[in-house]
Amino acid sequence: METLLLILLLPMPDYLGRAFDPSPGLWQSKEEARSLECRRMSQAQAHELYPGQVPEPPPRGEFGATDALACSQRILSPSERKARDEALLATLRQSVGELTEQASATYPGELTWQVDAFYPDPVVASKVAVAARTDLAERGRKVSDRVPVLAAGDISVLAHLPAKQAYPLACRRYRAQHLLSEKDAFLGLMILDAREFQLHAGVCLAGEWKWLR
Amino acid sequence: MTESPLWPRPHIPRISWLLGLLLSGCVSVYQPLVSLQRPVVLDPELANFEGLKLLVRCHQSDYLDYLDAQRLCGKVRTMFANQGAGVEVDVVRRSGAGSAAVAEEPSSPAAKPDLILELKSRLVHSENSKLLWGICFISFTLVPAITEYTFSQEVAIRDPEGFLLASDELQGRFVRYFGAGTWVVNKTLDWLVRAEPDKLTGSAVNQDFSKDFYGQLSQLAFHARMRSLVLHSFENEVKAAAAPGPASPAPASPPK
Repeated sequence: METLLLILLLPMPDYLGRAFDPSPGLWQSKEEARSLECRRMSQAQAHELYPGQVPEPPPRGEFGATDALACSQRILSPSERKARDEALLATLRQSVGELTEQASATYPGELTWQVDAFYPDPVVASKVAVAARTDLAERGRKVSDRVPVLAAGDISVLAHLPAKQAYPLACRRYRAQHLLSEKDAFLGLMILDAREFQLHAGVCLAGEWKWLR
Repeated sequence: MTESPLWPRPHIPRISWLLGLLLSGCVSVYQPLVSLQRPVVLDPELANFEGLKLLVRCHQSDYLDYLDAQRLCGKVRTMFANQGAGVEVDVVRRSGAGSAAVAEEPSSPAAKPDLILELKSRLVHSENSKLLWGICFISFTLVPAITEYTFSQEVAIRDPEGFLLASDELQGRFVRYFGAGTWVVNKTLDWLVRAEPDKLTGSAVNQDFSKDFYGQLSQLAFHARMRSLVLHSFENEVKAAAAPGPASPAPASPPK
């Protein structure tokens, strides 16, 4: 009987560890599991990030590879924002950073940058624009808070044109109406289709529109 | 200790073992890790890729043998074909450790693809305790044996010139509980307590994973297509605009 108990108790550490398993199961639903952001990493990497929870790997190595599954709770649960907003905002820093880096490298001169974002939700659009302005400023570029605004007649025409024509035409109108000077560059960030959440970008300089990505 | 309780005594019918095995079942649980839990915006059931010529290239690896690579490519082909794309498949066979990859000819090499989607799989982690299996069988599978693995699917989408348009790494984790106890508990909970989307037994694991995996692949391919359009100054816009999607490719909001 003692042997049986001993054998049944042997895997207890394994099963107790499972109580903290982030996968869906008895203790948490699929939605709760999805509200975690998990990444598998080596024990050394996990120890660097979570020194209090993950012990340092032994200096002489271990028999077999050891790794850790590190999870953190998302700030907002997946259903709190619209899917497109959530997907865009989750990677905003990275995507905006790539675009401003490209814009900055393509136009290295002494320019004053004006930035605007074209996105169906104005709140998200303003977040994108602010993120891009901040990133450009961090790169040492001169950034203005101004945004060129066209007349209502121009906007109603542009609204009916495809992106290929709308943005270059808007750029020409900015110049014709003296909304942008020779030393002003306008960085536009936008999505081009309702089915995507990746940002595209173009730059308007001296009445010429150039797509960056 | 007078007798060993580890094995059935001779008078216990061996059928009890068989009964235990018959009663036991697997409960597999899927957990999305890196990128697989990101929201998908497009609807993979609509014609999002009308007019697109796509080449899907699956690579054989240590984790994915040739037949599995073929099967994966076949499923991805069906998924994109259902969305209106013309799809060719190319399974890259690894002819031996360290040797160069050998590509099978696509079925009609004359047609130059608009996009090339490459899939490479690898096993990131696996865990399978022999101790748990031993305890599982000793306890007539009332105590579950637990196996788990984490895989990674590297996705890269290029244009015909080889320019990288989009790439991502999708990671998923599967935990499999083997045993009558776990199966009965979960089946009962599915039946009495859990709502339909929260059920764990049956084909729920396949459905959850397929929804995430094929959704992410579709979204990534759509992003690659849009990026290709912009980089080629909308040369192929006519084809893309013909796609009867849920929204027209007009600007989401006009420039002010």
